Amino acid sequence: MAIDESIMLAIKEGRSQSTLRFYRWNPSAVSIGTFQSMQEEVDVDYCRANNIDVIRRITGGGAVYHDYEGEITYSIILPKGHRLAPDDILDSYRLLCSGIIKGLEYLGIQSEFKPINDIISGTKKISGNAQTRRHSCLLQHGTTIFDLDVELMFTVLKVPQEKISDKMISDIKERVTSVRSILGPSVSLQDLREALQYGFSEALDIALVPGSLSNDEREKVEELRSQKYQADDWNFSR
Amino acid sequence: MKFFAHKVPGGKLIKIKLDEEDGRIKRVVITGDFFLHPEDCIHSIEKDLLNCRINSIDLLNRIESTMTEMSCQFIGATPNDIVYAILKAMES
Repeated sequence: MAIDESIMLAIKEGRSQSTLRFYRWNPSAVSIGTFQSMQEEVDVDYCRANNIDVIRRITGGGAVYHDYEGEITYSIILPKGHRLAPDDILDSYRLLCSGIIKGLEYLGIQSEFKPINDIISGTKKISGNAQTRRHSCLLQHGTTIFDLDVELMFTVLKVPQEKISDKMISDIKERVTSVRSILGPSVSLQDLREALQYGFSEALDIALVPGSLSNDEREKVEELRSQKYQADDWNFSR
Repeated sequence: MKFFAHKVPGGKLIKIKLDEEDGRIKRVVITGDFFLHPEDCIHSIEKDLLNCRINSIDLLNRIESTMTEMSCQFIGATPNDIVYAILKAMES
């Protein structure tokens, strides 16, 4: 979170450029949408007792369990006006999600964009995404589910019945899938990461150049981490 | 506080926590998994709803006025959905 916001601020100040990141959450963590209530959405006591971080995102959307062994998160950060950052928010979700769809296709998984912000394979969700526009930038980030521990996910998350009742599906396990459940145990997280890198490059017609944070960006990361993303004032607001 | 959770058909979940006094909003917290751009608009909506009469017309006018002033956009919910959830919270 802090890295993404640091990069956005650097881009705003003309000190950095469009960035695509892939990362895993270590330790595993729960992130909630910026409009959610941590206590309503997350079993915080369980998380603290089991070394699972809890954090509020700067993007809307729902609560997500980020399993270190179970998913890869991407974030793409673009300056306002970039060709990949159309003004229409729904159009931009569809455009940027095409990177994941192309990456999954490379692995042999057929998937499609499901508005507002999901990617599904068959009828099941395999990726969730969220977007914010601030600091003169667009940030979209999301997860691709590699391997799903449903029992643990719904131990840490408090999923209200109201959210699923209109889909007439009572078993939450029927609503989500994973790369491993489709392709089997031979696929690795490294395979998924390489596929996603290929997918974003191909679908968005972008040349990816490896880079690292500048010293200024690193300093800002530490400031944001300590003053915002690790602070109860932020994480437990609302 | 009064409470109501509303799943927007084909959209997102809105949760309302509400204190009222004499038929007006004393405090309101709007949470959920919707999107609102820019995100800070939620604080303005909640602040501008203070002391608003709790009826559909006044609530909708207040929310839409704030959103117009701040050039906000909901994704996965609408001002009408917020109004509906507030009115249902009052019934609880």
